[in-house]
Amino acid sequence: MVSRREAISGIGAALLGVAAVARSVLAQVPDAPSRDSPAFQPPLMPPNGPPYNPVVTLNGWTLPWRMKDGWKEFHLVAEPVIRELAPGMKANLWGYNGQSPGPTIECVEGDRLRIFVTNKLPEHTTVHWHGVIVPNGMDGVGGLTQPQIPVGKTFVYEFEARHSGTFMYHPHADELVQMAMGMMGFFVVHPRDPTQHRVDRDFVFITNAYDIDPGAKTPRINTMTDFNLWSWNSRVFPGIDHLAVRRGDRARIRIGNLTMTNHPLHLHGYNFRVTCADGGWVPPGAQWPETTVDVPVGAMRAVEFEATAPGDCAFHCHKSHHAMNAMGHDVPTMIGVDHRGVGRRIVSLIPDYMIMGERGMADMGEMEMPLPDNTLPMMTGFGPFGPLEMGGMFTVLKVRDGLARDDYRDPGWYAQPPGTAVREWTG
Amino acid sequence: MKTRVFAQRLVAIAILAWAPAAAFAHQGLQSVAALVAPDVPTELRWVRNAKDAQEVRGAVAKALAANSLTVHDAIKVAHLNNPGLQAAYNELAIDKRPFEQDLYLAAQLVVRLAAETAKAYIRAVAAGQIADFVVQARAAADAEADLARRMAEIGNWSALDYMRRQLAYAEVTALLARAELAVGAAREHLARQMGVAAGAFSLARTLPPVPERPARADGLDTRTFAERFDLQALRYEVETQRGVLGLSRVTGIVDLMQAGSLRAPNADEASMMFQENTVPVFDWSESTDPLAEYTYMNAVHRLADAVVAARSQIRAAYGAYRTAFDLSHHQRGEILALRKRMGEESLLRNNGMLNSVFDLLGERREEIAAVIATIEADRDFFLAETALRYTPAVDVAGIVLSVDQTEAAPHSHGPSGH
Ligand SMILES: [Cu+2]
Repeated sequence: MVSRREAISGIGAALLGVAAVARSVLAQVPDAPSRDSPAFQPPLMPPNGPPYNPVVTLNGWTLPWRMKDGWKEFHLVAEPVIRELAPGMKANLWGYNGQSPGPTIECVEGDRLRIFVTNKLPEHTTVHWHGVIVPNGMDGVGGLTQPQIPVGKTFVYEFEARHSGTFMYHPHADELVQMAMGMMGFFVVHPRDPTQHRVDRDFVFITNAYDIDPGAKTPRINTMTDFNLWSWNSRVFPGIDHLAVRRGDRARIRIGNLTMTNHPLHLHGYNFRVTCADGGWVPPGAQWPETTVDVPVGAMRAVEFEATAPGDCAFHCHKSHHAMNAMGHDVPTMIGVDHRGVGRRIVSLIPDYMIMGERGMADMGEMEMPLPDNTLPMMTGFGPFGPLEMGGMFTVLKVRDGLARDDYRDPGWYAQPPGTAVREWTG
Repeated sequence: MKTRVFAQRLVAIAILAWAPAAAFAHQGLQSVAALVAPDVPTELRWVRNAKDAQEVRGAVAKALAANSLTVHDAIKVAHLNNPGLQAAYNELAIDKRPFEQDLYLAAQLVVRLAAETAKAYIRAVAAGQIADFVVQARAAADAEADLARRMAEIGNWSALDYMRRQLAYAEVTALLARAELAVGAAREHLARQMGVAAGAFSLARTLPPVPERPARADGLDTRTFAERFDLQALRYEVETQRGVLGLSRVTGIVDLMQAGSLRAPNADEASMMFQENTVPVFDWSESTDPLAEYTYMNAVHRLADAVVAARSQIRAAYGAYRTAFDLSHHQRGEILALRKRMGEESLLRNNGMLNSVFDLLGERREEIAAVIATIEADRDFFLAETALRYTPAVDVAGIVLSVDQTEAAPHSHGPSGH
């Protein structure tokens, strides 16, 4: 079966007249694996090279590599992709190897990396290794440190991963457009010593934002502030993977921010410590306890906690509009407006009209009304007690007893022990 | 469409045997009815006594009693009851024209009255239909303004926001007053054609559907000469002059279908007199009148000029008809269809709280405006169709495609003005 990526890149090549790469050259380039689904992927245990504890990319995957003459060789293909943002909505984005964001690149301190980048976009591109200390000529800034990679060409980046830590990659060529279209990926350098900074579960994601008009599929690339879809790894609630953690595990969540605003990410049920930033690991004495980590634009944070208490813990951006899907920012407040008499007149003019908003907007969370094509409800999702009324940057950390070491499957809703839940006061 | 030849017209005229002065009074209406039958199958009555008047009143009352008056009945009532037409009958009875000319004149008046009545009927129905939708538009604006007032009262909106909606309502209210005035004026105009009171009849709420396919133009402008009453009258004048001047030796042929160009006669045309599309020219020395040439050729060229004009009018009428047909279908199939789909999309957005009920009602008002434009396009189609139907018989100047959409009051000129 032809994957979506192959189909799309085939069309792209035909349309753009991309010259076929000469076979002799092709033979030297490692495979560029591709994925056509945002489904959860278990961590990729390193098949060769130095051992490390792999990360889990929410709704993503880690790019396989090959070892050649002591080099770890990866192959990124920059190309148009179709990304499902959540069931019911797909977006025309640009990404790498079939998805946006691209696959996570994992390597180990001291690894010598050779990263092939093939450009199947309709315009030139580069890759900048955000936060990674590389030779100046490998920094990926179009025009400044390299000529841009032309359409149809493959460039090779070679550098040593000198510092372990939490990084990203993204284009530094027509950057506004290419990032607005979803081109980015996570980049993790593991410590040489796998016992150092060791955790049991290590989740990674990048925050990104899109402005897709309800009923459309392609982001409006010229939007500066008024985005309507705030996503993690180009997914929005209820499409974001939950974080399943075994009780007693030490867990880490690494976040990179490639939107144009900060995101105060708030975790319920735990206080955590910020253990890593884009500049490296935070010394234990300087780690700061928080329940909300504010991730600045263009920065990374890693937070860690001991998962001691079972439960379903909300995890979301605390800017409330960022935990919503597309909504009408110009819709006036209808709360308290008496519709008596008027509603019936409106229905006589517009038979399918339904009064909403006069008590608030919670109706929206419960009702499932027909929407424009390819549009997610502003607030949606159901939990064990009713509608969740969320969207955007929202998911759930699920801490449970007795999960297997590598079991990340959804353990279902948490069964609260009797006598530990809120109740209605009846006197 | 009807087909008819010149010869049939002459048969209708040939039966008369009365002295010219009394001929129209005795036999006129019967002959006129026969003349116009292919265009307007109708009943003509000359009301000359109380019994006539009572019969006409009965027929009119019967036609007006219908739940909704048909255009056919409106024309029938006009022909029975229009006082201007009765005046014309009497005038023709006492004038000094030849009987044939009286017939052609009366026929023109009868067909023009049919065309004017049909036009007035179409305008009146359309005006009522438009007003019904302006009422809907006002209801939408009313709901907007009402909600806006309630929004302002509880502090959700500013006075400015509220006044914007109230202003829209006030403007639609003015529109409705104008639409209702247009309804009254259109009904009055129709009532005048029929010689009755505006409150004496009920009309259909909607125009009929515009046909799926247009009528064809084949041969339309070549039929004109045989069928136009004004051309028949002019041709009769040429023939009369020939007889008076005593001309018989054909020296040339004037082709009426070639803008009156003169050519030599063929061998078989040398003895022929008048044919359908040609008139002969004679040896002027035959006549004792030294002005024979000028008298005769004056009549010939007036006829040729009128033929050119008539053919042009009918081509223009078809052009107007065809454009009105296309515009009606375009308005309904494209513009209104798009508006409806936009309304549906807008409702989907409203379901998602992506827009407000005010946006929705605003869209609905836009859709109603498109419905009104569609009714206007249909009305213009039926007006153009009416013009096309009667132009082969008479000069229905003025009944052409209405380009000015804002025109509210119909023109008022009945048969008494001719
Ligand atoms: Cu945020």
